[in-house]
Amino acid sequence: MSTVDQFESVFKAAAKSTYEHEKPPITKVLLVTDLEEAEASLFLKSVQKYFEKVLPESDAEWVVLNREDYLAVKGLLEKVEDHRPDLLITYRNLRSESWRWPYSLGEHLDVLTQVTTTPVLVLPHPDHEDCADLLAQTLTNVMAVSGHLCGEGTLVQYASTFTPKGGKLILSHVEDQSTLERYLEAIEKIPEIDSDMARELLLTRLLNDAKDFSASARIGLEAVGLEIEVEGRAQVGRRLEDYRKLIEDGHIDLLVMHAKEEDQMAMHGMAHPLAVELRSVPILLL
Amino acid sequence: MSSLPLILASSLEHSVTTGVTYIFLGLLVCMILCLALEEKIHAKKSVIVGIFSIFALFLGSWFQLLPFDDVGNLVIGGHKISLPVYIPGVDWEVIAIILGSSLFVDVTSKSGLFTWVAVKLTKLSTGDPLRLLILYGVMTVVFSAVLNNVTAMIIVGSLTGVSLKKLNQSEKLLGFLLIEGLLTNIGGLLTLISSVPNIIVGKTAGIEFIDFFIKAAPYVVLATIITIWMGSKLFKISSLKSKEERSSAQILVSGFDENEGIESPGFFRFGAIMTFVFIGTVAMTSQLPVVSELGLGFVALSFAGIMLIKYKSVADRFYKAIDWDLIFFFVCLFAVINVMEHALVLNLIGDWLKPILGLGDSLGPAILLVASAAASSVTDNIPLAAMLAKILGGIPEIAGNSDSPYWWAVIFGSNLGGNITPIGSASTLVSVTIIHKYGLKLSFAAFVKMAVPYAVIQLALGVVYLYLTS
Repeated sequence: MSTVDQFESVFKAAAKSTYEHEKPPITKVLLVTDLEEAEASLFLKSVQKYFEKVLPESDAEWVVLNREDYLAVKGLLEKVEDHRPDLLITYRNLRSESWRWPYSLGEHLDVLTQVTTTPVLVLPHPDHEDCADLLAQTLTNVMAVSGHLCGEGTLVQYASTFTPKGGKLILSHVEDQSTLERYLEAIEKIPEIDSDMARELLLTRLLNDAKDFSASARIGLEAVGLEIEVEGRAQVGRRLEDYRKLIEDGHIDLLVMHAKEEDQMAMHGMAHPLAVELRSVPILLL
Repeated sequence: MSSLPLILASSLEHSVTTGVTYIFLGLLVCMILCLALEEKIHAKKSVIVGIFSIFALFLGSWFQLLPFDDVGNLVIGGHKISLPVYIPGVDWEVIAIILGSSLFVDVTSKSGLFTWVAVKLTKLSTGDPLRLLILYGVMTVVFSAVLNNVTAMIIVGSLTGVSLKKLNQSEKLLGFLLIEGLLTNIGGLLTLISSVPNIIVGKTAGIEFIDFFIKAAPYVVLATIITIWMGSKLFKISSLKSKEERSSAQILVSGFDENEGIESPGFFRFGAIMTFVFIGTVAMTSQLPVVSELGLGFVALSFAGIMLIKYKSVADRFYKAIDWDLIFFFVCLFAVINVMEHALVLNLIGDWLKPILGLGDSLGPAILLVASAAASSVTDNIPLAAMLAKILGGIPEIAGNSDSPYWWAVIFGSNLGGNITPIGSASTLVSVTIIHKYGLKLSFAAFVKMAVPYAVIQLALGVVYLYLTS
């Protein structure tokens, strides 16, 4: 006889998360630099050019902070509080030489991403060899990154906002192989659970949920007439390596991911290593 | 329905002292109390009744009440068969129906048919709580009538939990589940085959399938409407007020995918066809040559067997999923009841009820309906229905009249009695199980307090309905 659990599982699977599009309002952008005033102005122009299709100057007020505008983290936070921007754009290791070594985000960015509720767009450091080339290109392909894509409407809303008309939005979900294997190994030691069935069904379920949400997002974005191509990618792998490959293969110009976790002060699980290591591609941290 | 246990019990030639009868009555009362306190003593009902069946059989043997000679030397079709004394007391037809239909429903459910219907109705509600209550209520009644009330409760109850959570209406869960639980027993009244008491009494009375449906359907429709209306008022389940709320609910409910549970469109169609054929065959069993002799249990098991062909290599998964607690509960309960029959406990209860029959065709059926509902609320309605059917069948003016209101009094009472307590029927027990699964507190007494207003209205309606239609 079927149990409540069995039917409940079927209905839970049928109750899919649906995507509802709502464009996040971005009317004020604050570009935080540690450059001298003239350099900062030039950098602002480059950044505006790079985002001209998605953040046209006519739609948003742009403000730039240069080296003189703040001395330490506290001063920077006060400036952010004064301006109350909808989006912060900056780069790693402000007021530090550490940007040369890809091991940290720098104290300013660490605090900015966690203390403010404003999304932070992280660009390659202006002195990084790829930065000028990158900003000279056109933003076309955007990838939303999530380990829990299902139900992450805000992520898709921001990612689609930053995808220009005619551009491509990849909704990626990479299930961490090592974590999954650890759970499956535990399941293999539980006699009450059929290991083969658990492996097959768990994997299918995990990926299907992400695929279903991608499909829902595609329909939702089509419905509002954004005219962007939406592709869902759900796979199991070693996350960092897989994301590197996805970025390379998809010629990704911008990554979008969540950086905040409700129950912790440190950055969201995968966001930190990705933000630290993927230094040549802009990353929007929500 | 097999009448073997009754034959065995009625063939008693030994005398039973009143004292012994009261000892067994005490045992029966204790078992009922233990079932009522099932949660407090942390025991499955199969274990509770199993323990009491051991005591009952031991005492039955001690007092030499059990027909060891008869059962040990049965001659069936010219073959001598020796059976343990507790085996013929079990109504195996009922077990076969439960086993076969639950297996059939379980395998058919893999086709995604029932979930498809359930999700379709959920979407049809547009997420409005009141509309959802009405649609789920109707679905509960229909599923109870065509499947069985336990499966109906499992399907609708589990969907209710998921859909209300998705719609952010979890605070209404208790009301929904309670109303659905009560509606399973109303749905069980719809056809001759919707519940075991219907089959036992209907066959004894000689009521045809179509006549049963014509007589019961208006009451079921009326009782369903009143129960849902009362539920909406008492649990404050109303329509969404603002346009924003309706729009938000519509979006949430549109996320349900009715095709999620369909693994193969071919098997889905096969499942749908087989369900209709199953219902048709069950409805026509008594008219079908060959099959009528084999009975409903054979039909149910055969359809389960046919459906299992699709999953022939993993059929054991379905066997593991069978609710053995329920099966053993029924088996042990039948054994206990059989001993009670030998100890003349049921006769004693029957004697208490006999004066009712002398009250005339208006008051008599009314009191019988209420009395059988009261008895069904604390004990299994199958032996009660069988005992009352036997008593009524022995009265010439009732036995020859399939329209007699006394038959319907037993049918209505034994079904609706399940709505008074959580142990009154298996489906209300399932509804309470789901309520507890979602962390909602509902004690035995709290259930009775909430359910009694509904039960009183349903029983009063039943009394008036019988009075007007007899």
